[in-house]
Amino acid sequence: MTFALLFPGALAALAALGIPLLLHLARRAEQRPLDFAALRWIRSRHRPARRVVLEERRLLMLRLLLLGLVALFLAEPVVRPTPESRPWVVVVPGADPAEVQPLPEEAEWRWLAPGFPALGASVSAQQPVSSLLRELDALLPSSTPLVVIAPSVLHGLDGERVSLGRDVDWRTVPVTASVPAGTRMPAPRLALRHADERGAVAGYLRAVVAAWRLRDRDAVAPDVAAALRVPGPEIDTLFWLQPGNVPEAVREWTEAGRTLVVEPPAVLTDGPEETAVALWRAADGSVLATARPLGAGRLIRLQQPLRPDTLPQLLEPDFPAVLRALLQPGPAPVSAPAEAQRPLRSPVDSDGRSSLAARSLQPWLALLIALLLLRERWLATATRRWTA
Amino acid sequence: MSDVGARFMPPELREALPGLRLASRRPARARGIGQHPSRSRGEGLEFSEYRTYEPGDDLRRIDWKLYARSDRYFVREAERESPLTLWLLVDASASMEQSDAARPRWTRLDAARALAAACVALALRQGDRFGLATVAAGRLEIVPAGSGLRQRDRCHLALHRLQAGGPWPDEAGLRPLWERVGAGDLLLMLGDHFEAAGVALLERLAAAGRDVSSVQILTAEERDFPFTGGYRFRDVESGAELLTDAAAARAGFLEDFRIARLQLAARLAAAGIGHATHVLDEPLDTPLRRLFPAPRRSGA
Repeated sequence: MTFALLFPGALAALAALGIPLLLHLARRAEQRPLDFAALRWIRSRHRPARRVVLEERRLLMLRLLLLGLVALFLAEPVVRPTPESRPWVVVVPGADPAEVQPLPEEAEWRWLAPGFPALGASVSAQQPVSSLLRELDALLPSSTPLVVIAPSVLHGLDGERVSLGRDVDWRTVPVTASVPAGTRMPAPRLALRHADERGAVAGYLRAVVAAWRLRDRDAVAPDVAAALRVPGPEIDTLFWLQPGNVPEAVREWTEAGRTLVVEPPAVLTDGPEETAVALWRAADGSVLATARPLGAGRLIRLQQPLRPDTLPQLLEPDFPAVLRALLQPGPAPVSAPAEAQRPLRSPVDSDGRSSLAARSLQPWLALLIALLLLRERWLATATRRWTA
Repeated sequence: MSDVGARFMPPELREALPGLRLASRRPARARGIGQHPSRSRGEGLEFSEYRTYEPGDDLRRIDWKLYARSDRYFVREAERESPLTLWLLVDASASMEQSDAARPRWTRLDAARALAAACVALALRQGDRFGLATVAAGRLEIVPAGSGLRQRDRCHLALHRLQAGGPWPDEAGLRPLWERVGAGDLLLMLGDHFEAAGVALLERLAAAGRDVSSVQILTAEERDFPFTGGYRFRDVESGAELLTDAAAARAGFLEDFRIARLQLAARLAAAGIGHATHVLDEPLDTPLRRLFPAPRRSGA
């Protein structure tokens, strides 16, 4: 444990130590009156020597201690774990440390797992690697060297590149057994409810599904109708190209976890529009579609009618892929080659971050000060010195 | 002796009384039948007590009839007649209120009261006449000399009422003392003797044929000067104040005060005045034993 002050400037309050010293010295200057008839034989005319005699030394000591502790309290003392010079070797589950040479001899061997158990413990193979690395960086004193042994393919990453407050000795070991990737999602099943004059849209959607079918044999042709019929539960996405209000039945159908795509003339009164976020942007940055939640589902509002003259992107060759990305936002990548995920050196000084592990002494100091204050009051009022 | 005197007298003083005897130190008066020469037989015929015979008592004073009945020697004290008059002069000026910090309720005046009460008891036992003169608040108060229990009570009352305060009176204020205290009378002054006027009065009384004794009553602090640190010393009679460091003043004070006491003793001795010193933390009977020892009985 090491002791540190977060605000050493508050030690200037130690100047207040002079106050009790002055008080106790000033008491000294008081002269005790005494009736003394044999006064005429006292020939000494010495002024009472102003010797540095401090009266009530116990009380004075107590007051000095009290003020010192208050100054210390203001300086925000903390204790930190002793910086361990032994390096930490952290093994990401899935990697075999025996394949890494050379390794530091005296080292703390841990799993990269919640709680950082020793290597003997059994841990799950799936760990939030990025998050654990950041936690470990915050916990360890900045001077402790850190060695990370990672499998050549890292799983459990998150959206942000890991950036640590120290230089990390990053070792990778090749692994053959890879964690199976997530299964590919089936293509969305589309439905179209168009006004009579918008029948051309159906052709575009069929072309899209046909394009999907090149890579995804299970893609099902869209359910196209001019009626106001609500599509069946197997449909994922409904293109509602009817003028006027969206019927309540369609809304309920969407709120069950499906996607509704509407054009500008469509009116969907309730719901906070400001929660909509830009979902699709043109090459020049203008917003082509916004999305917002609608119950458990979501509402995609095209900014232009779904026609080639108003939405030229409809004719682009990558429109099927774009539409599928809009309708099926895939999960962020969670796996990457470990070589590419070597942690960056954070520009933030890790000293400030390692203070997270420091424990404040202020509550204990406050308690001690309160006790001392009680004792001081007791001594100061119980003393008979000044009343005599 | 009554219990009234017990209020003034500590037990050790009361125990010392049988070993004391008031006597004039003037050699002109030869010892006669009584303890003191007598010119007026009519006075003091008051029976006080029988007391056991002590070696040295005159054989003629033994009550032989009582001896025949009890086979013991008794002396009839009541037969004594005495013209000896004891005057007690008690200084109750303001400085007599001083006491020691160790015993703040026991002032110089309390010691003077105890000594005066003891002398009253002695005089009463011996059948002597006694009177009381007190100096308080700058005035002289006198209880005229008399004898007997009622005179003792008057003296006790006056002592009881006595309050310390004021300065020493001037010469005119002391004149009644000269009118009352006759030549040959025994006069005992109880005080601190710090006022030169008081000492001069004793000297003049002694020179005028009075048998003068004095007890100087000092506090233990005046003897030891046990102070350290800064003190503001104050003389209540003159109002003078002195701010000094007690530790620095100690050696000088003790030396000067010792010399002053020696000078006072020498001055009083030169004037033929019996002198004793009492310090408040010492036994009260010591000065009386010194001034009024029981006569050594060398045969009858």
